Order: sequence, then C-alpha cells, then structure tokens
Amino acid sequence: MDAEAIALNAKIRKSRRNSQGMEVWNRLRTRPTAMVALTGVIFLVFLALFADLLIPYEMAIKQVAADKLMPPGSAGHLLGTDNFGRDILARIIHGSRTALEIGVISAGLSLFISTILACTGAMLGGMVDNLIMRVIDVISCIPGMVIALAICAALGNGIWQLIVALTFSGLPMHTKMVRSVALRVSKMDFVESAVALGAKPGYIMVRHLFPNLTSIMIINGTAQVSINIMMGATLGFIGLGVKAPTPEWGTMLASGLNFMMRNQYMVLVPGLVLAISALLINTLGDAMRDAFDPQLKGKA
Amino acid sequence: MLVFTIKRILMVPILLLLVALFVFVLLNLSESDPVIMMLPSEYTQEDYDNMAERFGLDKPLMVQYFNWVADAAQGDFGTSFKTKAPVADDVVFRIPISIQLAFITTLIMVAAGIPLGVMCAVKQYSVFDSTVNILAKFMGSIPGFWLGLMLIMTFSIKLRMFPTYGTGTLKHWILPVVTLLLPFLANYVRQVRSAMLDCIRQDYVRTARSKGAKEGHVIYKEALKNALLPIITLTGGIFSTMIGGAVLVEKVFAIPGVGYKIVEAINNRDMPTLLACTMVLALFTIFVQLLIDLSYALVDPRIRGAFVGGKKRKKKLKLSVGAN
Repeated sequence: MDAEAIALNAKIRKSRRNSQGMEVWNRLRTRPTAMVALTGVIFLVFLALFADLLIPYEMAIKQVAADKLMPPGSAGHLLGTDNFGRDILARIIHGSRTALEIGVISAGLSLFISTILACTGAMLGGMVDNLIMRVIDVISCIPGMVIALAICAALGNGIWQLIVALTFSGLPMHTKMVRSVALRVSKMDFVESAVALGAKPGYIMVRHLFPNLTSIMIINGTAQVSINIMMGATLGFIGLGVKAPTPEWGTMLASGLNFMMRNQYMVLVPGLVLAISALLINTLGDAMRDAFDPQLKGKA
Repeated sequence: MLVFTIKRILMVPILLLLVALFVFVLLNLSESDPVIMMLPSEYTQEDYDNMAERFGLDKPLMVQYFNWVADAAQGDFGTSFKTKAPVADDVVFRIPISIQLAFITTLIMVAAGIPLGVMCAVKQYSVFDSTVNILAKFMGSIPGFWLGLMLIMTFSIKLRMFPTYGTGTLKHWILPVVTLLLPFLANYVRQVRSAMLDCIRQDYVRTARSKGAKEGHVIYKEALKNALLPIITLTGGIFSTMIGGAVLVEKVFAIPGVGYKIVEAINNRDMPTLLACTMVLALFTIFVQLLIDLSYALVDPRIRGAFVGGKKRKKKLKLSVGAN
C-alpha cells in the first residue's frame, strides 16, 4: 500500500469517527431558531456558573429594612426589591443556579437510572423485564406531580430532597420510552451476532445498546430539564422547595403572592424568567430532535 | 372483547392495592414522628403511647398497611392527624369538584385539539400551521400556576370580569379551566399534528387519492381513522399529567377539590389525608387508562382480535388453515 492510500484511509477513518456529532452540529447550525435558543441556553448556563462574579451572593440574601418593596428601576435595584428588602435581580441570577442545579441533576439522574432499568429489562427479558415493567406500571398510575409532592412531603425541604423527588417522578415515562427503543435495537442483526459470538449481556449493553440510545437520551434529557425546572418551581411555589434564604424562582413567586395587588412585579419577574428559560430549553430540544433525526422534522 | 374487559377491570383493585403500598412506604420515609407532632409540647411516655395506639402507629409498617387496606375496603380511610375527624368525610365531597375541573378541561382539549391538529397537518407549513405552532410552543412553556396568577391579575383584579377564587357560578370556572387548558392544549395540538402527519404520508392515503376519493373522505375516513390510535394514547398520557396540574390550579384559585386538600395535607404533614387524596387521584388515572385500553379495542380490530378467548382463536386459526 503506498503512502497516498494510507493517508486516504486515515482520512476516511477520521471523517467517519466524528461523523454523527458533526452532522448533527451542521444541521443545527443552519437553523436560526436553534442558534438563538442555543445562545440563550448558554447565556443561562453562564449566569448560573458565574453568578458570584456578576453579583455577590450576599446581595441576594441581605435584608435591608429601609429598601422594602422598591419598584423596578429604583436606584441600585434594577428589578426592585422584595418584601424583605432583598434585591430581586440578585435573587433571579442566583436563583438560576438553583433552578439549573435542580433541573439538570434530576433529569440526568432519572435518565441514567431509567436507561439502566430499561436496558436490563430489554436485554435479559423474561421475569426481570416483567418485574421492572410491572413496578413501573404501578408507579405510573400516580401522576408525576403527585409523586413529587409526596416525596417532598416525606423528606422535607432542601435541594437534595427536591432532586430526589423530581428524579423519581420522571422515571416511569423515561423507562417506558427508552425500553421501547432498546427493545428495537436489541432485535437488530449486530446485537444478535454479538450474542451468537458469545458476548455477555453487560458487554452488549455498554458496547451496542448505549451508543444507539444517545440520541433519544439527549432529546429526552433536554425536555426533562425544562419540565423539572418548571416542576421544581411549582414545588417551591407550594412551599416544598429549598430552605428559606436560598434564592429560588418558585419561592419568589409564592412570596410575591401576598403583594400581588400593589407590587405586581414581584410575581411578574420570576414567572417571566421561568417561562423564558423553559421556552429556550424547549426550543433547543425541538431543534436537537430535528437535527438528530431529520425524518422527524416538523413533528411535535 | 368481554373477556378482555373483565380481565382489565379485575386488574384495577390489584393496581390500587400496589399503588397504596407504594405511597404508604413513601410517606413513611418521613423522619418526623407524626405522634410527636400531634402531641402538645410537653407530654409523658404514657401520652405518647396512648396517641400512638389511637392512630395505630405503634404497630409495624406492614401491619399498619394491612389494617389500612381492611378499613379502606369498608370505606374508612383513617382519621386525620390534623382535624382528628374521619378522612373519608372530608375527601368524598371534594371528588365531584375535581372531576368537573379535570373532565371539562379534557373535553374542551379534545374538542379543540383534534380539529386544530388535523388542520395544521393537512396544511403543513402554511401560515395557519406556523401560527398555531409558534403559539403552542409559547403556551407550552408557561408554568400553569403562573398563568393562573396572571389571569387573576388581569381579568379579576384589573378588569373585574371574573371572581378571583372559589366555586359556585359558571363564571368561577372560566379562569381555572382556561389556566389548566392552555398549556395542555398546546402540547396536545402539537402531538395530534404529528400523529396525523405520520398517517397522511402513508401509502394508503396516496392510494385513496389516486382512486379519486374526495379530499374530505381521504382526510377524515382514511388518515384520521388511522391516527386515532396514537391520539387516544396521548390523550391518556396528558390526562394523567393534567391531574397533577389540576392540584396547582385548585390551589391558585382556592377550589375546594382533592388537589387543594393535598397541598393542605402536605403543609400539615397529615399523612392519612394525603394517602386518601393520592389514592383518589390514582383511581382517576387508572379509570381513564381503563377507558383508553377499552377504546383501543373498539378502534383497532387487530387489538380486539388479540384478546379473543383461546378457544375462539383456535377455531378461527383452523378455519383459515383449512381455507388454505
């Protein structure tokens, strides 16, 4: 083989290696809405990561009696202050950290657990599969919101309790969805030939099932992050969220409730931020789904 | 069909028992001791034992569960930790209120969602389609409880068109139903559109067109009839989520339904009431799931066939083999 052929070979191999990721990115890049949403989500992540640099945490929890209920646009308080004299902008920015922490960790955990459950079921079949799916059936009889409420009620307030509750409430839907894809993949020729070659179920799961599940996991994961941020805020609104001084959007909304008549911004601002974040993440999720699977384009 | 229906209905009590067990264990994860919470700040060991015995909390968890099931079967859902009154009395009259809210909203959602979704799919990429799509995307991203607050602020406080909370007249229902409806309708329209798009691209639709069938016939008789199955499935899924959303809407509008009671019970750590309310909501979900499974069989003859009793199927099989 001459040098030219070797170089060509290497080039082909290289182009193949990063083909799927690049292909998805290339498709994503050409869509303006996707890029706007992506920019927005990156902005949100930066806000959460560098909240301390933008505005000290002290501002978000410091209670100044003299600055109570200042309207937006007041000196030093761009979005005004709440009933304890805390700066709303600071609470929104630091609240984005809480929201993303809760949304991303719980969505990730629930995807991770449900993928393992679904793949184990799909690979082993029989009794194991039956047991897993029956348990999931029972859990899915209770609306996710109610499961989250019950867990929060049992475990008490706090970020980790909230994450456990949201992780659990997302399990049934994901397990069902991932299982349906895993079942389809596990019947494909390459899996069957791996079985015929004597590969163990664990190996097949890691080597063959997981790579084929990445796209559905990324798509579902993005959707779940926005659902969980929304649900986390909802639980905070009821009074089941994080502990008192921690800035969190849902709790901010709830505290604004008593001042809704005169100081509407206290309800307006956190809700708007919540809605815009959800919209950005949802739009990005839809665009990613289109990019991963062009055949699905334009579907809900 | 009859066998299938009976089998499915027999599953309901078993499911309910398991759901009860699940929630029972879940609520007992709590670290705070309900007995101490019910007692005054100063109490003797004797007081503690008496209180524990009165609510059956001195027994092991599994014994508590079986006692609860035995009592629940007779309509006794325990005594509220908070009010010390029977839970059943407090929950029963709330059920119709919650049913009204959830079912009225579902009916409107289906009645508006299917035509909208079908129209979007038929005229894909038209102005109408894009407008509905963008609107749906926006509405789907708004948290339901916040939408409720905004509606109260504009229509009740500013414009004074509707009452802010409570139930009673038709006017009381309009804002809660709209609040619950809009986010779910948004998702529903998008999913109906996608299910319909799947069917419109199928070969049999093209065949029907090429045979010269009228467009209305093609859409409603060929495409929609086949899209009904996925549409029924997702209606069930959305209903279950909506039951969860209704909890919040009841809280925001102070509608005295099961959901309102759940939030109250959680804040009081009143486990018997919480358990009873959760069971009611689970029963709603199971009931709707049952209806959906049955309607599958009605809509799709293939599924109906799969549940024909063993003997009948064998007979049919023999007949078809004989014919060959």
